[in-house]
Amino acid sequence: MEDYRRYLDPKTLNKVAGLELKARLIVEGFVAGRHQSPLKGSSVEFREHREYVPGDDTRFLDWKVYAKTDRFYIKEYEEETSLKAYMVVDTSHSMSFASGDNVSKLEYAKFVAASLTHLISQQQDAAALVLWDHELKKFLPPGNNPLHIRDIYRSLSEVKAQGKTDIGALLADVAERLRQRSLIILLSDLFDDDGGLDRGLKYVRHKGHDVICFHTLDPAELTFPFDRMTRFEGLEVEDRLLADPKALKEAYLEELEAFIQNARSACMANKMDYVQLDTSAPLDIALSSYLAARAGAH
Amino acid sequence: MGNFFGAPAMLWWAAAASVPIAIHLLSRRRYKRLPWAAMELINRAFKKTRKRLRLENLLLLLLRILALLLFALALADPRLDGGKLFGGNEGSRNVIMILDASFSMDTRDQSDQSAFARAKKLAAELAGDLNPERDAGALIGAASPSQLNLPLTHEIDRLRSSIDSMKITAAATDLLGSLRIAAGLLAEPGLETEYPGSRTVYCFTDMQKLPFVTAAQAQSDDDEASSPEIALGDIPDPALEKVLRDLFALQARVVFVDVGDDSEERRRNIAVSALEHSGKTLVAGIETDFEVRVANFSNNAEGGEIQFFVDQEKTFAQSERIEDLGPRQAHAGTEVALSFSAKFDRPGWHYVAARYLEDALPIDNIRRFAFYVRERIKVLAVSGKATAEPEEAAAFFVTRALDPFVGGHQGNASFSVKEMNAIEIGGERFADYDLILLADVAQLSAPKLKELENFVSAGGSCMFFAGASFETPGRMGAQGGSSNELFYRDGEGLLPARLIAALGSDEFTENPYAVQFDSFDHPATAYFEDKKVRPGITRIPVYKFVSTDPDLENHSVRVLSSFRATNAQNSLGKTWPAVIEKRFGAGRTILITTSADRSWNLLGASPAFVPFIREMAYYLTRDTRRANLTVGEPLEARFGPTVTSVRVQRGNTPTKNLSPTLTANSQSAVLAIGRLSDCELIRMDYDDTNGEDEESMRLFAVNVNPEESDLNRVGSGWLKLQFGDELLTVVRQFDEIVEESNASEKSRLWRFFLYLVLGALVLETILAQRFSRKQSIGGATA
Repeated sequence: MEDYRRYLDPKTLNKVAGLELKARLIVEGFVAGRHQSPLKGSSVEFREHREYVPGDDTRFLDWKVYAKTDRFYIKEYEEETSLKAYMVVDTSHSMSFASGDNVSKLEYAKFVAASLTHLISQQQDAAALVLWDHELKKFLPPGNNPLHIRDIYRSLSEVKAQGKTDIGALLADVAERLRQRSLIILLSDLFDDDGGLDRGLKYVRHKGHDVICFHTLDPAELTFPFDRMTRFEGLEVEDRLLADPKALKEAYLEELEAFIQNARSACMANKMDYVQLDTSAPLDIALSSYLAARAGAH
Repeated sequence: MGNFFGAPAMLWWAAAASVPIAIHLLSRRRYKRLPWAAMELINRAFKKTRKRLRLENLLLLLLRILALLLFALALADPRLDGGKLFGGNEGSRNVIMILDASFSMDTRDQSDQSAFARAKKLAAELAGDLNPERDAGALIGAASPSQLNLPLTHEIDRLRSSIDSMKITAAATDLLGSLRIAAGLLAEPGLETEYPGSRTVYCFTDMQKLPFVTAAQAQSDDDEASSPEIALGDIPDPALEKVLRDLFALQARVVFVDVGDDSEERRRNIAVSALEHSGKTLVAGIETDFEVRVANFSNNAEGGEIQFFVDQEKTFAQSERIEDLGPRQAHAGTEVALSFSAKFDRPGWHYVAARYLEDALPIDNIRRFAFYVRERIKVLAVSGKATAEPEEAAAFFVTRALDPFVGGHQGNASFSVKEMNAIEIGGERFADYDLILLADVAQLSAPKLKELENFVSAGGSCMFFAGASFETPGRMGAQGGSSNELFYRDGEGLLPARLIAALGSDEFTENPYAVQFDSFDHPATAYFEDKKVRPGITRIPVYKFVSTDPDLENHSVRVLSSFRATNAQNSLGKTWPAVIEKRFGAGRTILITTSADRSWNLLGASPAFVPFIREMAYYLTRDTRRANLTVGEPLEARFGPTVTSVRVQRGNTPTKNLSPTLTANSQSAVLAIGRLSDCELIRMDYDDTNGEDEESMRLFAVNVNPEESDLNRVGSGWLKLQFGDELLTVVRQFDEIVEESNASEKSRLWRFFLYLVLGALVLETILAQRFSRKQSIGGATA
């Protein structure tokens, strides 16, 4: 019997083709590691009848109405979705960074987003996708049908890292678009030099949405393991710095710590979840965090 | 710059200080490019650490540059006023001056100034540069034997006065001895307290080569016609190197001040290197040959005139011109030998002198030779037994060989022989003779034996011939014992070897023995080096002889000639001693192991028997008293115990009356003159109150050491190569001396700078590790 848990390792998972399959494997691996399945059966609620038109699925014909009226009516149902989850994935250039044989932050974010999409769809919740860098690149509204889910997977697969990050503007834009209270799942390295995170989160919170902030970082960004003279070249900005990394390490790690602390503080101040993701770490952390947040949201 | 650094050229190494900067710049050109997301963070980190990092890097860079700069400074031999730096001795100088007062220093330059005068002038100038309040000086004369003229003193005036009063001697250079005196002076306990400060030994010398190289090396090169200049293969004298190292260990700087003349013409020196005669006893009325050797110490082979003087030096008796002296050799002059002859009518002390005409160094142009001329050589010839006919006496032939006119007309004969047989010997006084000849004598009363031993021991001589009496050991019984018991006495007696047994036959045989000479380097056998006269002895048959076992390990015993069997097949090359010599006290004895008469051989019938016996007699009776000395040697003249006053005249100086002192055993009186410092003739006249001493005058000739005549100089390059700058420095000019003096006054700081280099490197390592650890700790925390 295949152990799906190994697919929680991003390096292993990276060898699997197709994001949909990857998402399923992640979720299967995640489920296999839990004592109780987080997945529930489908639950739908009748909404209205409408007249049959050729091409409709005959499974949904209301035969009782036909018997009474001799006319074909299709029963339309409303899915019992209590949650609309927006996967907001940062596709700015800085997300392309990958050290050693680790997957890039964007790839990792894609895995997380895809697996969450799969999990959300399995739970009959609606999954939406927002791809952005300094501006909104793609917005797929919430949905639960397989075609929609496939759209999400495809969009995730196709997206490439480019542009700069502008979290403040993004969150404000997304919050404006959402009519209902939703769960925003933010996947980003949060390297926004404008400090827009706090501002955006406040706006989102003001609109009544929940946010899980998956702060995605590469292990090299967390440990700064370099020792040779290095010229650091900015991915999002035209900036270069030649320095001895050994001499710089202590101060960098201090700055990183402060940066992470700021992000965490911003989330906590807005009563939002903050989860730090290491692209070398197993992917179940993100799923667990999501489930915890979903439970909190209901 | 030159004042502060001993080797300013080494400062070029300071350019190496640019190496760390170059490494720093190069390291900035070799880097890894890394696309980076968190530029904001890294920029902030850089801004925060920039100042500290720059400071740390700058500090490490400066320390590395400093280490290299200090190393270059150390190589440049920095010198600084020791007093100022360490606050101890206020830069005081202790200067030991060694003045080479050897006769080679009398070589004149073109302005007729001697090297010694230049040395004194420079030494005086250096003394004038000393500060009496803090500096001290000492003076050593470097002429064999070296002596301390003035110990270390702050009285600079005394030092200058001592330099001024110092006179050149006729002695050879004693560089080694003078440096040893300097080392001894500096090693004195407590000197550091009394005379703190720098220590410099200045050796004012003409830089003659010989004191610097080993004697063995000098001799080994004698045979090679190589360059006169010091060769790279020359071996420095290890004793000199040792004393230089001792001085270095005593923190003394040794500076050789070269006052010699470099010009080849001025260094051209020709010396009368030897004057002697054959070594035989000189007898009045007999003409004697003297050999004069003239040594050329230059490449100029042009010769000159040699004048020969007898008993005075106003008019020469003979003269001879040498046309070609030949080129000099590596470590000795080319010697040309000349022969002069002289005849002395009066017995007593005489002298001869040989003089070469003037050159740049006049002192070695004359050489004197003093000697004693006997009236006759008195011989007592004793035969072992009385015979009816004189011709049958054992000593008959020997007596005639020495004195053909025994008891009759003596003419110019050298020997005066009195012959008798052993029975008559009781009435004779051995001391009245020069040589006692015992032919086949195997019995002697104990008192006469004792008298004979005393006679030989006091400088007399005795010649033994074997004979029939020696064949019967123990024959003498209670009267006197056997020959061995009388004369050999287990090596303690007069006989050079134990008599073992008679070999050969009394009858004529076809295969007799014959004499062979083992070498001709002995005065008694040198005559027979001539092949024309040698067969007169070596072909004469010997039928019988006494075998002996001379103790050849004993250096006082030597075999001069041997017997070999004329039929080589019978002897298988074996030889037996024929003539054996023994040194006994101040005298000598000779044993001829065959008979003096014709009973065992036919030697007496050969004309060559005459020189054979005479050469041995001349040798045995030669005057062994030392009358010819070398400058630097001590002179002790011995007289009879009754001599109480001696009138001494040295050269042309007025006569002085001196009193000899009796020796502990009261057997002689000794007049000690001390070490001789001049090339001179010393005449001693005395009266012997009881008349025991026949003589009333002694003569001594004092000559220079011919080695000192070699003016070839040692090169400063060779010295530097062999001893290094560390052990010695060579300077010529006064400003160089002053510079060296200042260098000595100043502390040599290269060690101090090396310590600083070490300190800088250690500090750099500690700081680099500390900075690095700080970074790694930061990483661990993160």
